Amino acid sequence: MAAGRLSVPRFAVLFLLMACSMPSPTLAQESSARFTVAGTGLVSLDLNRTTALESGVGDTDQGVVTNFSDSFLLLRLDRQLYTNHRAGMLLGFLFPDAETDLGDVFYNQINVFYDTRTFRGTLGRTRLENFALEFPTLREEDLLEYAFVLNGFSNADNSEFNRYGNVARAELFGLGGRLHVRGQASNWSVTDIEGERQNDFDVNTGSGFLGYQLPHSIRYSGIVREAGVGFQSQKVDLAGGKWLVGLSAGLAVNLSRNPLRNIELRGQVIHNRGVGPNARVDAAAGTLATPMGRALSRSTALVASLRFLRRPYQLDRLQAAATVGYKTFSGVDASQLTLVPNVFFQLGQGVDVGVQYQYESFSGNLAELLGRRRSHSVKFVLVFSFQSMFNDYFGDRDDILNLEHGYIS
Amino acid sequence: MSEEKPEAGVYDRRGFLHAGALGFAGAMVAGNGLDVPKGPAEAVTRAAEAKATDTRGGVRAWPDRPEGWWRHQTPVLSPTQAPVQGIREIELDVRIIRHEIVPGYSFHVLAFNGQVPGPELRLNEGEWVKVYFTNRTELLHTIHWHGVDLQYEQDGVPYTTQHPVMPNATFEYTFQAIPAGTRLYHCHFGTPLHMQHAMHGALIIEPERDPIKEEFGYTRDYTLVLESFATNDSRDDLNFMLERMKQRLWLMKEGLLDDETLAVFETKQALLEAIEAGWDPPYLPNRNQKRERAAQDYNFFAINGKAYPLTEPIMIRRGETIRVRFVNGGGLMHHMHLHGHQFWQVAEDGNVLRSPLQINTISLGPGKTADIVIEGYNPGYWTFHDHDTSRVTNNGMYPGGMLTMLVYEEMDDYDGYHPKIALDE
Ligand SMILES: [Cu+2]
Repeated sequence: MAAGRLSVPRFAVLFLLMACSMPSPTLAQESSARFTVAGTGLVSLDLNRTTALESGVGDTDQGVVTNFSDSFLLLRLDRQLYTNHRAGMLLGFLFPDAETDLGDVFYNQINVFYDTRTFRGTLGRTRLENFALEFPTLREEDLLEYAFVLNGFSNADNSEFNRYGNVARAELFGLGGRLHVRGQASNWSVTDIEGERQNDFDVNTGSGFLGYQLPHSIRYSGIVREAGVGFQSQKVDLAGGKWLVGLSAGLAVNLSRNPLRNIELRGQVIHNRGVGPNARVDAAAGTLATPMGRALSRSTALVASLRFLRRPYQLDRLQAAATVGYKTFSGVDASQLTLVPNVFFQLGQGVDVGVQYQYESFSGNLAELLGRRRSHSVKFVLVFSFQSMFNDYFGDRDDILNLEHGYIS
Repeated sequence: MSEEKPEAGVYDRRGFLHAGALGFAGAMVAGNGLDVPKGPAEAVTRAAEAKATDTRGGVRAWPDRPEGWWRHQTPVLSPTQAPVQGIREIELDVRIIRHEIVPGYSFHVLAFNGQVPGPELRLNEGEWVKVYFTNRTELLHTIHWHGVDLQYEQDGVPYTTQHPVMPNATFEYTFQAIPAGTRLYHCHFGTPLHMQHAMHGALIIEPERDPIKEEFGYTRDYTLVLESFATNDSRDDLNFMLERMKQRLWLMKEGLLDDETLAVFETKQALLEAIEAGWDPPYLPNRNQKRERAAQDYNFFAINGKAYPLTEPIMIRRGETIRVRFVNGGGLMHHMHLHGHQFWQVAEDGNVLRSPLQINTISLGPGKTADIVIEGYNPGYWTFHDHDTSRVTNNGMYPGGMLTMLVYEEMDDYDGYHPKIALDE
């Protein structure tokens, strides 16, 4: 059918190319990889307004921008091994915020993984998993300061260095996919004081996580949907201390198990121990005014969200969520608060239109150091996302069949 | 009638001569495959000549019977007319199991009593039977008694003759086993997934006097259930259905399951009203544009649950006559061809043919059954396979799949060529 639409000369060229480049199937036996491609085009029209401390002091900003950051494309290739285990690779990139100096694209996923029924090993660039839960905001960076253990090696003003890094990770799964233990040695991006990335790829962080999670396929089947505790130990080796330890804990519950009208509440606390005798600001790294300074300071961040999902005929259709984040720094008068309500309506499968409002306020020293007290933003958004799998020839660990009816290796 | 088989005599004599010439030990190698074949025409002619009364070549008449004897006459009775005593009781259930079809390859299937195919049910014609069918999955099912004349509410068509059988529920099917013949039973809910993967089994209703037995005097009776599996589609579909059904079961329990979510309406008018009110039927591309959902990508083919090389051979002796019943439990057309023999087709869809027909390839569409009689006149190892050879494959590799063998028991003592197991040609 596709060939019918091609004009004859183009089809001939295509055929010729195929004939020249393809090995003859009678000569080479091949087990083709399973191929999954996924992506999201996420474009918002942002109306931002930041209020200065007082007239003439600090930044006052107002603007309208078209923002396509966090749009991404991700490829996954995996195949069955002679042992019947699986191995594969992820290759993905996203479009960072224009205000960062990361360039047009950032390769956030370049890794190879090895999978068995109870184990997954991952090596390469991927998510740092430096949180216990994810929250329903438009972009992850909307809650960066509240929902992540931040990177104490980076003074760059971007979310990517706080979300992605180079890891060597081992994960174990049990209890019908519900139990999840993770250990990870990783390299978190290192920058100089100017935020310029340094050629430092040594392992600098160790982390661990213990979690309970209903597999996605049975996500409404229980009250406790997710629970987990974890830590991140960054070996910052500063004069005031060697390790920067962040602790995280989270819990998500289905307030309603109705798969047509799901209501879910989730909350997370992150306690960053900070570095130094007072576990406060490291002198060399600056103050709370810089990303690195804030990451090195002792702080406690709380995030909670309430999400309502309407799924008529078991199809996602409408999501309304409200998220609140609060962070306070120890030993100084500094805190920040954010409120993020949003609503998304699904026009078709994988196509959402929505609006998100975000309010953020800074108090005490933080407001003065940042030079702003309040900011508001309204984002009108259109999201297109997709996932397609080709040559699908084995089941995944989390499939109901594999979880409940005997695993097929 | 086997004693008066002229073919056996011919082969004995020729086999003996050859055995002597080639130095084989004894007469037991008689009729080995080294006999110079004279072509199928000779076999047809010879078989036709076997019956002095038959002059039509490839067709033979049954012994004299009254006109219209093959027509089923018994009136259909409803379960309320079943006798109080003497009812045969059968228990069937369905579970999800891992099924190994060839060494090293397993997949999940829906299996009657945990078997692929389901257990063969043998009933006597006219006998009353009560089948207790228990659903041990989180999906919905029924059992359809294919080719049986019964009261319609026992017919097992969901939303047409009954509500589907809910998880952990037991449904009772009561019917009289009529008419006689090789028939089948299968789930009629979501048949591309359920019936084909692998809720199907042979249902054999035996008459008091079987004209096939009387005419051919066969000694062994084989059943070959033909199956076609699309294991990657079935895995995908089963996972999808299980996820959806878990949610629906919760809704059902809470009394919140509506017609639109279940996509089942009381009337056509109710459906049209729902569409008018903005409900999108699940077949529309905006809800379902999934690869290969309509066309299954078949990759494994089996006989009685196993693909070559795990298929069981059909055993025969020289001079023996056997009956083979084919039941197509899958969704494809199969053309079963037997090498080295002309066999008699004696029944189709369980019903005895007006005249047995001599052929060597028998075609069966989905849901078809056919009975053949094989006369053991040509000792050897004889390939018996679907002649659509794309089904003689395992996951695309030839040979495999729907391939078995007619094996003469005498061949054990023959020191010529014996079959190997070949998996990659
Ligand atoms: Cu079924």
